[in-house]
Parts: sequence; C-alpha cells; structure tokens
Amino acid sequence: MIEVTGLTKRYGKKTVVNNLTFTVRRGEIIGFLGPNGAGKSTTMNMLTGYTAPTVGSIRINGYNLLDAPEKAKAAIGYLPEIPPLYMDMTVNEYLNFVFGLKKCEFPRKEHLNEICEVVRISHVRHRMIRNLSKGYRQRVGFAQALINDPQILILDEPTVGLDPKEIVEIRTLIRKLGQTRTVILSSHVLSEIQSTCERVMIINEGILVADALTEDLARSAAANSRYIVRIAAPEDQVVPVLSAIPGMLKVEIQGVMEAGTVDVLVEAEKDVDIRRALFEECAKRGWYILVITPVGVSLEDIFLQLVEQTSSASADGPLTLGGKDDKDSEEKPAPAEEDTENEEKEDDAQ
Amino acid sequence: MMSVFKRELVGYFKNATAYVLFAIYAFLSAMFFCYFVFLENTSFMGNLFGVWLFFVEIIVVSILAMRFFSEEKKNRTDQLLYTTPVKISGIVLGKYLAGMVLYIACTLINLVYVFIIDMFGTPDVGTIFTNFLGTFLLGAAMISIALFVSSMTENPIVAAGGTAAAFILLMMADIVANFLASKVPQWLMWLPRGLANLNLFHWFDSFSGGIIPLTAVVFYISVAASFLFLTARVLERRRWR
Repeated sequence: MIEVTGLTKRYGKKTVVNNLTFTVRRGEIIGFLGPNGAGKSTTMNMLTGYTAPTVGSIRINGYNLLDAPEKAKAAIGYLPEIPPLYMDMTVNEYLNFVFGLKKCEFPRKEHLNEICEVVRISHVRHRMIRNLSKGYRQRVGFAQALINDPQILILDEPTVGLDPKEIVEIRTLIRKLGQTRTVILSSHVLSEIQSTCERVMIINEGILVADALTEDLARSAAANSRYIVRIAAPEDQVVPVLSAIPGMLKVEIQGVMEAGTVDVLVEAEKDVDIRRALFEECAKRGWYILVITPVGVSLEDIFLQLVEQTSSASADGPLTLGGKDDKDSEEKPAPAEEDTENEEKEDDAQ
Repeated sequence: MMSVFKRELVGYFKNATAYVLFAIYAFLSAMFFCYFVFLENTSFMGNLFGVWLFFVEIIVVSILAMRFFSEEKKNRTDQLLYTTPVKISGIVLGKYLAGMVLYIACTLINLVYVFIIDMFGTPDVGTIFTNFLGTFLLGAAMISIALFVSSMTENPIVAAGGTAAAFILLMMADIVANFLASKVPQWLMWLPRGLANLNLFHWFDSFSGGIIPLTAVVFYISVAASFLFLTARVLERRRWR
C-alpha cells in the first residue's frame, strides 16, 4: 500500500529525515512516534506530496508520488497538525469546496451527509468554522480528510490542544476509521499510540530507531520483572535481607507511605518469579507483605530509552521486532549524520 | 481549477475584501473623475484611464496580492491545496481568474462616469472601449505579477508592499531610461529603450488615445503568461527546497 525507500529530506546542510525505509500494508494502524523536531511532520508532508523528498521514493498503491502525483494523492486523506480550514467559510461550504477540489465522484449530498454523520458534525454544518471549538475544527479537518473516501489516512498529531473529552472522542473516531482504512498516526503522546496503534515506528533525529508491533516492543523492553512492595518490617533490615534472595538484582527503598511499613522497589531477573521467594523470606522473619504491585514497562520507557540511545550515539538501524515486516528489518537506515541538529529547521518546515 | 476559482471569488466577498476594494476604487476613481474630467468640462477619459487610475489599480492589485498565496501559506491552508489531486497550474489559474474577475468588476465602476458624461455631452465610445480594453489587459499583467510576488512570501503585508513596490519601480523605469538616454553613448541606446519598455503603464498610452496597438496587447499577454508560469515554478520549487 505504501512503500517508502531511502526517504531523505535535507534543508541546506541539515538532514531532517534520514534514509527512512518502511512498508505499510493495507489495514494497518501505525503510530509514528518521536519527540518534537524528530522529523515526523516532514515525513508526513512528504508522504502526502506537500513537500518533495531530497532523495528516495514513495509509492502509494504502486504509483510513484512524483511521477503520478494525482493518482497517488487520490488514495490519501491528510489531516495536518493544524487543520487546513478556511475560517471565513461555513462547514458546509468548506466540505463542498473540498469535495470539488478532490474531484470526488460520489453523489455529493448523500456523501457529505454520511461523512458528517461519521465525524459527528451534522449539527454544526451551517456554522462558520471560525466560531467552532478546537475539537469541532479538528472534526471538520477529519471530514475533509475523509471526503475522497481514502484508503490511506494520514493524521499528524490529531489530538494536540484538545481537552480530555475531545481527545477520547477523537481516539475513538480514529479506531473506528482504522477498521476499514490504513491509518498512519503521528504523535509524541505515547499513550495515544499505545491505545490506538497496533504497530509503532519510532523516529528520532530523522532516523527510524524502532519499527515493531506495539505489544512486542513493550514486551521486549521488559527485560526484568519489577515490583513495588509494601512490607511491615524494620526499615534498616529490609535492603540487606531482600538483596540476599537469589535472582534479586536491585532493592531500593521508596519511602514510608504508612506507619510501620516501608515501600521497596525490587527488581529481579527476567525469568525469575521473585514473588514466591520474597513471600517466603518475609514470612520466615514475621514480616507482612501488605501490597505488591507490578511495575510495567510503558511505551514511554522504551521511547525514552531509544531516543537517548540515538541521541548519544549513532544508530545502527531500527529495532525491528515481532516479525511484522521482514523486509523492513533487512533495510536498515544508514547511520546518523553528525549534523542532525535539525529541530529548528524541522519546525520551520512545518 | 474551478473549485479554487469559486472558493477564491466567494472568499473575497466573505471576508469583505471585495467590498473594501469596491469602496476604494469607487472613491478614488470618482475623485479623479471629478477633478480631471468633470470639472475640466471634457468628455475625454484618456487621462483618467491612462494616468490617474493607475494609482487606484496599483492599490487594488496590491491588496489582492495579500490573499493569493501569502494568506494560504500563513494559515496553512496551502497544505490542503497541495495534497489534493489538483495540479499547481490549476491552483494558480483558479486564483488568477478569481483576481481578474474582481479586478474587472472594480473597473466596471467607471461605466458610471460614462453615463454621467452621456448626460452632459457626447462620450467617445471608441476611445472609452479601448481604455476599458487596455485597463483589462494591464490588469491581466498586474495581477500575474501580484500572484508571483505573493507566491514568494507568507507575509500578506510583505506581499502587498512588494507588489506595490514592484509597480512603482516599473513606473519609474521611464524616468531612469530618460536619465540614461542622456548619459550613455549611441551604441548603448538600446539599454534605456529596453528599460522604458519595462514600464507596464507606458504601454497603455495608445489605448488612451483610442488605438488598440497589437504590440501592447502581445506585451501584456506575454507578461501575464510569463508571470503565471513563474508563479507555478516558484510554488513547485518551494516543495523541493
């Protein structure tokens, strides 16, 4: 559906996107994750034909975006970070304009009614766009992206600046749209990617540093098992006693949350279920375990870990897990260039 | 192209640009008509069209330049235009034609003065026709230049200022050419002559006198076509930078 090969964008000497290669298959919901200035929006702009790559090619449904832009663009619906809305139009006028612009061949009235129903803007169709709330503007932006009934939906940070209720509604909408379409969703909000996307690509300083199924990425990073344990025990004895348990890697006092108890972070080797040994050791000494809470590894931890790795050293290539796309794992991006201080330029480019 | 054309044209009326332009044009042209035609007791409108209305047209076209591409870029609505299956040439032409329609609508205000002359004397229909034709052709060239300037900046004020400055510089080409003509040797006389020909407004002289000069028609159409082409190239180039 989307084949990206060696995609590179340079602004002068600055490389904003560096040798990205990936494939997106029909029906996937992909999260494009990266810190601000990582090159997400530039990549999105290239995927939609807004900007041209310096090097590399993009094929949409087999059509090269540069050689056959009209055919390639016809398959795409794009919602940029700031929805491209004309404030002096009503929602209805705007959607009719986009309908004509995208050369749609559906029955106009029925199709627009349907789109408005999907994104739930039917009741604001006659209102001026400038009078709408940010959430509704975003919905109108969604409607615009959906008007040509695209097979591919590209959404650049679709929930930025929305209130929590609107965020939940937009995420639900994305999941709904993702049932019948390929969706590429960029965000620096990790929970959004985790809750919405089945596959995640992490980009930092223009380089693809990870490409994996979301759950595989989380699982692989959970190298060790960690728990927070609240024990009714003398604080000074807890660390030496628990550290002596076989398989225990780390014991760290977290503080006293309840009188007569102490909260401890324990970390054991990945394959060791430390809970049983922990229980036995405490029981032997007459200590009571009041609470035991597993500490999971979130996408946030992985993200920070990967971003730190790539920022401090040159990347060898993307971390590809879960066997989602073997081709991707073979085509690793080139090492980072030294000059990748591209945040400012990236912002300009957006 | 038609979608862009319609959107632009409706947009002029939606955000009051059209009304502001009509008001400016009507006020200034009426003032010039009163001073230089009505109070002069003449039915000759060549001076009105061929000198004074230039300033009104510069103002109108410069204001139009603010909207063409600068505002799209500033509001990020250009992301919609360039990611849909519409060719850049279609976008440029759509905007150009909308600008032309508004410009022509403004210039048609001058018909009122023709009726006024008709009430008190005999208007020279032939000269009036050539003046209107010249004004349309001049506008075609001016709007293409405005479109070009607008495509190079995302600041609407810079677009308007740049367009006005370009026209004023072109107007001054005659003065510079006259100055050079007295300084350069004979073999370099092509330089001031060529420079004088850059003045868009200089080509209007024959239209004022009731003539339709083919060279001027070709010149205006060539300028319009060249700047439309250049605008499309600038927009295309911006994608590659």
